[in-house]
Amino acid sequence: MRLAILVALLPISAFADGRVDAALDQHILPNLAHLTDSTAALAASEDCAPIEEWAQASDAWQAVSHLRFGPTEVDNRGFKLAYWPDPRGATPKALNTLLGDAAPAVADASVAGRGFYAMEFLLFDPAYAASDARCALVQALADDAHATASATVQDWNDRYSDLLRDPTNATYQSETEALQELYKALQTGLEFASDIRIGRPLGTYDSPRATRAEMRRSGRSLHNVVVSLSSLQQLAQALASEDPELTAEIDAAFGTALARADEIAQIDGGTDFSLVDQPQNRLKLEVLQQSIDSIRDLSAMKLGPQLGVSAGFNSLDGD
Amino acid sequence: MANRRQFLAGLLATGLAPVPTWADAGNPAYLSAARLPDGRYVLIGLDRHGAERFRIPLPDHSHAAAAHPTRPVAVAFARRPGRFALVLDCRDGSVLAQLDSPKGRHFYGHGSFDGSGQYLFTTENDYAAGTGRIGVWDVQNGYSRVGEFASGGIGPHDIKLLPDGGFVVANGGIDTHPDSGRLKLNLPTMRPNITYLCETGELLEVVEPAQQQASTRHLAVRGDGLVAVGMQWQGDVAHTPPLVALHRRGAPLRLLGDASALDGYVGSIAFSGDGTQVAITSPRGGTLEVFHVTSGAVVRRLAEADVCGVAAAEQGLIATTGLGRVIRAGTTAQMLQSAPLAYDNHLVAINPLG
Repeated sequence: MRLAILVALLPISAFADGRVDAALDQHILPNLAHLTDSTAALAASEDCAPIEEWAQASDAWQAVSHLRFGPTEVDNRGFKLAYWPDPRGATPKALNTLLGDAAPAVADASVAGRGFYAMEFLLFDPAYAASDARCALVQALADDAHATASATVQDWNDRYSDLLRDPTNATYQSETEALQELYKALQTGLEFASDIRIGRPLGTYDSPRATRAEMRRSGRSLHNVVVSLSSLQQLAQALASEDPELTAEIDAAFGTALARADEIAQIDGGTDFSLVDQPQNRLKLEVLQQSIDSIRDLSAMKLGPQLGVSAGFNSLDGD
Repeated sequence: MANRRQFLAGLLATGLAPVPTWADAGNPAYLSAARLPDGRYVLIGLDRHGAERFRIPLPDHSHAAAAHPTRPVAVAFARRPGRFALVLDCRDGSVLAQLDSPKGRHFYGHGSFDGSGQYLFTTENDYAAGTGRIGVWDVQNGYSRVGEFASGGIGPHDIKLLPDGGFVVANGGIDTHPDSGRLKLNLPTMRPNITYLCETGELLEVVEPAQQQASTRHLAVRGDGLVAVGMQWQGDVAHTPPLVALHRRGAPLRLLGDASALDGYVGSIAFSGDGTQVAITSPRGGTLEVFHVTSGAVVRRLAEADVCGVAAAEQGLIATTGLGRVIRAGTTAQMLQSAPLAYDNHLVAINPLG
C-alpha cells in the first residue's frame, strides 16, 4: 500500500514510456530524416523532369503523412507538401495561375498548386507539355517542398519530439496524452488509406470513380497505400512493443493487407486503381480495404485500451 | 345526425382537434440522443432534474437536433454528412416524416424551428458549389421542402432562432464533400463566420473571428438576443486561441477564456437559466467551463470525463456526458442522474427562449 502511494507521487516523467521513445526513434525521426534528404535531392536535381527524385520524395511524404499534428499543422506545412484529395479541382487551377503571366512567387501561391501532388500533375498530365515555364516551375516547387519539409523536420527535432518524450508540458500533460496522440495518428492513417486512398476511387458498384484515384497519372495509387501501410506498421509495432503477443497479431494483420496489395499489383489496372471499373477485380480492392479496416478494429479493440486511450463517445467523434 | 367519425373529421377540418403537447410525452425539459450498451441508439427526454421521461428508438448513430416549440416532436439527423433526418413523435417513437436532403445537398446535423413551429430550418451543404444553404420545410404540409436560401458562408453547422424571429448561423468555414467523408478540404483558406439572417433569408450581418482557423460551430442565444459561439481550432493545438465568444449585433466579437483546457475543441455551448453565465464543454479536454457574461471572467472549470451536452437549467446549468452522467454545473459537478448509456454531443433544451 505504502509503495503504491510512493509510486503515485513520483513525477510522471520518471516513467518515461519506452513506447513513445520507440515510436520516435524507430519510426518518426528516421522517416522525417528521409523526407529532408529526399526533398534535398529533389531540389538539387537539374533535370526538368526529375521523376525518380520526385517519386522518392513523395514516398518519404507518404511514410509520414499520418503525422498530422504539431509541426505539420503549423503554417499549413502539411497542405503545402500534399494537397489531396482535391474534389474541386483546385490544383490544376492553381498550376495554371503559376504558369500564367501574372504568376505569384511559389511561396505566396495557393497551397493547392504546391507540393508533391501538384508536381505529379506537371510531370505526368499531358495538359502540361514540357516547356521552359514548366521546367522552371518544377524546380521552384521542388525548392519550396524542400524548404517546407526542412522547416517541419527541424521543428520536430528542435522542439516537438521533446514534448512527446517528456510529456509534462502544456501540449502533453501525461504519458497517456502522448500515447493517445500517436495512437490517433495510427488510426487516422489507416482510416485515410481505407476511406480516401481506396474509398474514393472505389465509389459504389454502380458508379466507380477511377479518375479519383490518388496519383493515378503516375500509377502510384496502390504504391502509396503500400508505403503508408508499411510505415503505419512501424508505428503500431512501437506502440505495441510491450506486448509481444499483440505485436504478432498486428504484424499478421498488416501482412494480410500487404499480401492483398501484392495480388492487386499483378492485375491489369491494379497500380492506378483503374480496375475499379472491372466488376471481377474491384472486389479485390474491396478486400484490401476490408483488411485495412480489420487492422483498425484490432487496434481499437486491443491496442487502444492498452495505451489508456479512453473510448470517449464524444471525445472521439466530433461534431 | 353526425356520427362520431364525421364529428371527428369536422373537428380536424376546423382545427379544433386536441393538438398534442409536450405534456403528452411526459413533460421533458431536454432531449438527447444516446448510445445503449448493446450499440443501439435512442432519443431520450429528460426532465429538469435529469430524470428520464421518455425513450424512443433511433436508427443508427443520429443526433437530436431540434425540438418543436409546442408539440412533442423532435428532429434527429443522420451522422454528418447525412442525407436524411427523421421527425419523431416523442409520445410513441413513430416517424412522422422523413426529410431527405435534395439532390446535391447534405445536412450538417443541426436545425431550428421558427418561433411558432410552422417551419423547420436546416443547415446544408451545396457540395458541388461548396457553399452553405439553409433548407426550409413546411411543418403543416408533412414537412415538405418549400425553399432554401444562402447561409452566408461555407460549412453552416448550427442555426439558432433569434428573439426577433430571424436566425443566427455558425458558418464553420470548412469545405467538405461527401465523396471524401468528413475530410476538411480548405483548412489553409477557410473563413468561418457567424451570420445573421432575417426570417425570409436576407443577410443582415456577418462577423468573422480574427483567427481564420477558429471554426465557428455551435451557438446559444440569450433572451435579449446576445449570441454565444463555441469554436473548434483547426491549427496546431499548442497555438489555440480563445474558442468562446459573445456577440451582439453591430458590435465586435468578444472572446472569453484562454482555451488552455479545451484541447482545441468546444463541443456545446449554453447560457445559464438566468442568462448571467455562459458555459462550454470540451469532451476532449474533459472540461466544462463557465464564464460570467458581463465580466467575461472564468467563474469555474469543472473536470468531467467526456462531458459534451450542456443546457440552461432553472438554476444554472445542466450537462450530460458520454459516461451516462447528468450533472448540475454548480460550484462543483453535482451528479443528478447516472444511467448505463452514452449521451451524445448535445442536450437540446425544449423551448429555450420560452
